[in-house]
Amino acid sequence: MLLDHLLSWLIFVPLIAGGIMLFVPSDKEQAFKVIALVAMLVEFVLTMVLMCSFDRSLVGYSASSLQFAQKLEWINLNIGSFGSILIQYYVAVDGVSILMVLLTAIVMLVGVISSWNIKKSVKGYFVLYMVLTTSVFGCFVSIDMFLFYLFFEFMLLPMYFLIGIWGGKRREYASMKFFIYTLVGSLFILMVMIGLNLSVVEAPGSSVHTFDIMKMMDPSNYLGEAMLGFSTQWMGVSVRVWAFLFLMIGFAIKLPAVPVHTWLPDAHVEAPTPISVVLAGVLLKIGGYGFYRIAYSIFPESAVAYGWYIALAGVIAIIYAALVAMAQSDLKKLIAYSSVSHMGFVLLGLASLTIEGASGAMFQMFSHGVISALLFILVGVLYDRTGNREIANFSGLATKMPYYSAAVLVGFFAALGLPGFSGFIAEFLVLIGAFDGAVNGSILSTWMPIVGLVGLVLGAAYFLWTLQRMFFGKFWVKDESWQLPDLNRREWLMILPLVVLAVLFGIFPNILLDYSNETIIGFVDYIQSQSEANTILIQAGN
Amino acid sequence: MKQSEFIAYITTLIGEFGYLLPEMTLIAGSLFLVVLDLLYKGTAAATVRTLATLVVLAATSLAIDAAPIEGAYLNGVLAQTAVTPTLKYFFVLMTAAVLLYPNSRVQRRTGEYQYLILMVLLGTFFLIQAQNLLLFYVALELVSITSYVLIAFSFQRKGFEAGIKYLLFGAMSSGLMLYGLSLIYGLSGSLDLALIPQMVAQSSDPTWLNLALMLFFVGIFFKLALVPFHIWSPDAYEAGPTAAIALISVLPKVAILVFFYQFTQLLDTTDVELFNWQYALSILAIGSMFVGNLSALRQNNAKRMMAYSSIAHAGTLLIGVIVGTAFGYEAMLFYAVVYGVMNVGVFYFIDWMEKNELENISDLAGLGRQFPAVGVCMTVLLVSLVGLPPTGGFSAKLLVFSSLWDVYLQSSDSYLLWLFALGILNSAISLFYYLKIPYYLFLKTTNSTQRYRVGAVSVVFLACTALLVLAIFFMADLLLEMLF
Repeated sequence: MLLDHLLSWLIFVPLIAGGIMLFVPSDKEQAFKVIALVAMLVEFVLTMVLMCSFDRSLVGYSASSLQFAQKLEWINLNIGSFGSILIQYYVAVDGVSILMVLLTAIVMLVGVISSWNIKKSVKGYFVLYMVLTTSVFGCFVSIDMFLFYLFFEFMLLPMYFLIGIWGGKRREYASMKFFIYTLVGSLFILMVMIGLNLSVVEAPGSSVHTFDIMKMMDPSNYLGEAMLGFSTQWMGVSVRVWAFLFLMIGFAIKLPAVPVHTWLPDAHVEAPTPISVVLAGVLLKIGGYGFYRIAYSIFPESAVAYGWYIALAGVIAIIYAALVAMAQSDLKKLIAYSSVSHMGFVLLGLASLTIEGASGAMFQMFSHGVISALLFILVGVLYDRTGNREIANFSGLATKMPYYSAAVLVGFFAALGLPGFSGFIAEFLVLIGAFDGAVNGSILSTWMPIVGLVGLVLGAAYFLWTLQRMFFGKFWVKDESWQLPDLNRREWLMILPLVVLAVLFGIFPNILLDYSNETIIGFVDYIQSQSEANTILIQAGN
Repeated sequence: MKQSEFIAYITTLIGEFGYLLPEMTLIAGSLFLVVLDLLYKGTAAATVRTLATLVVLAATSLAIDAAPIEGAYLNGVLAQTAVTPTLKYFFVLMTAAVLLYPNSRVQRRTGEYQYLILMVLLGTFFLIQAQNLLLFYVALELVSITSYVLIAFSFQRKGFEAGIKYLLFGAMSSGLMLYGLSLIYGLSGSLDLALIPQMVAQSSDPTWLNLALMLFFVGIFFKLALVPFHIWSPDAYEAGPTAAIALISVLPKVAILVFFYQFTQLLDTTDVELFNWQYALSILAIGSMFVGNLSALRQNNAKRMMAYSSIAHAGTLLIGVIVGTAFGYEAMLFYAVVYGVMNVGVFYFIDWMEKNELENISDLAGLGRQFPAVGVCMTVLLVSLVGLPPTGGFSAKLLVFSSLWDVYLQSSDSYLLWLFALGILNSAISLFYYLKIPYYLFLKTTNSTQRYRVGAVSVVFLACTALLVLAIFFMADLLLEMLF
């Protein structure tokens, strides 16, 4: 019973908790925190149940390899001669999305603990946080594109208010910028979604237009002449290529990739610590996950044909963002840019279309989720004490706050990809995959992984330099009145598990890779074979 | 004609008056209200009159239920389709909702005011059934002339100015339309929609017909406030009583579009070589969306902002006519209903603002914290106006743009794709100004110590519209079934 509806519970438990909160008087501040914490603990337990009962040996990449599937008819719009539009409540997980669910459960739990010292309108904050949690979980488990889009869009409003009300000085500007960038991206996705829906039917010969992503992957479900498909062209290029490009833009904004990343530093700098944690920890991953689940899966032929450009975007993001990070004077901004740089690896790994590369991309998403959450919490620790994050205002912190400095040391090492931490495994896999893809495949160029390696060196440079400037040397802070006590119990509670996870998955990456392996093998295999088939169809169409 | 035939003919005609039951109820009710207004004067008069008007509306709904549903009647001058009763119900509900507004600007003369509102309703009833150009014109004038008076109904200088502006533009456009109609009559010898296409086919020169159509279209565009025929609307919206504006921004537009759709369907059936009117309409739709949304960005006055917003929405609604398929028509009506619900809610709030002498959006700073329920409802309504899920505005836009895409795939005319892409881009632009209201409500704080009151009725009203907008998203199929 529970197992059958596990994913639905996962989606709706936070929403129920949010509903309960509405009936609690707003002066009982502690109650909201407790309800939120309990809800997130329930989510975590549910995720553990999910992980334990997941069948890791299921092979393939199709509707039949999805697990815990739940499919209900939701809206069935009957539109005369045109046929009908079917929207399903269709949720399921595979080896990749289950890891994203795990990541969400971890980060959202840590986020609640980090929200403990929110003072301003606590009720509103936690209700929005619960809504946000629901939409993130929903995004990762939706197999119906409409449902995915619904959750994807629905993340915007809570984030807009969470940044705009509880953020820093320029919060209004940052929240608006975040909203507009993401909305423009999602409108591109919307256009493709409409096109796909009108082109794809439930089964060959049927007139029921579907949003089912799994159905969209099968060329035989596409309607004959009138389709977003194999024979329609616009400005001399197949419409499918345009659709792929639109999806790329949409998800690249969310990821974010250079040059559409500029909302991220602003949003991060202005957002309160827990929201930064959630933003970097899970929200960015939805961009990467969208590439995997939607853009690549539905348009495999374009994924192969334009893989080189995607990898190029990845490499540019890695190098450019690392260089920009080096020039930052604000610690939080530095970490925000390092996020952009790290997400470049996701693009590079995915573009290589090798099993190592794709596994690496997935692993990087997970690992970066854990590590960036850790880093933003660490920045928050300093900001809580001083209200300041300027790198130049601190020096020799290690003497005053030894435990904190040790935690930062570990966090930075994990982020720069030191062997023994999960970041290393991820970037290593991506680079192997990129080399493999360049040497044995025809998608990438050999210089790409080499330049990617330079990105690693740059990462080491800005992290170590920051470490040296802020934590080593003689103790000095700009304002003598700043109290700098070491980590308290609540902070330990957040930092320690994240450090343990970063190390655990660095030493035993197989814990995660075992889950994703069969799915990734199936995914790469599907892309390779389907892209050839689709290319032939497109050529036949012209 | 023999006498017996004539008598039979007259008898059928009289029999067919049964079709007109809703309209006749409305007329009788309005006259009764005028008499009541003369007889009944006192402190509770306004409430009594509003109640009486609501009773008239309820009677009209019953009459809609009782009247026969489909078919042409009265010599084919009027005709009902399956969707006509639903649209009438929708119009009646909109009118009833608008009568519940606090209506601060119409303190005196509620009797006349409500009579005029009912006349707008009556006009729209005829507009959606008109099968004859002359009847269409008369119905349109009924709506227009009452609208001119309603705009000036605040009895303030500004209101008169806007009313006169509206009147001058409206008279001009009516003149153009009438000129176009007379040309059509001259070319075809008939004013019956059904007969025009065949009769026009006999005339050889398409130039005159094109000219006639263009003049007729311009008249319609004025009434729909499409760019570049929109200049009257921001002033009119700003000066008019909010309740009347809420009505004028939806009912006449929807009714005209229903007729316009039927009219353009005829154009496809003629063999005469016409100008590419779909192309022209697409340009107008794109222009309206851009001008409406970009101008709205710069507005601080809430009503002016909504005026520009309605220009942009008229552009989106026009897509249904451009598409011209049954799917497009359904999508357009769906959009119209959702738009009506959203507008009724938003204008109710604006009316509340007016009552508290708040004009500008920036005056709203911090009010959302004071009244969270109102703030949340407004956010839902405005998000729906942008067209984001999970609101009815999203479903409506999804349907409209789906129908557009469907036609594009069949015809692959590239201007349709531009319309599609730019239309969606405009949703993003509109986000800026719609969200300005929640932005001020929640994100801005104020130093002003002024306290406002929000009555329970207002909260319930706003909550109902907001819930309706959400319900339309989650049960979109129900609304579609209701419409068709």
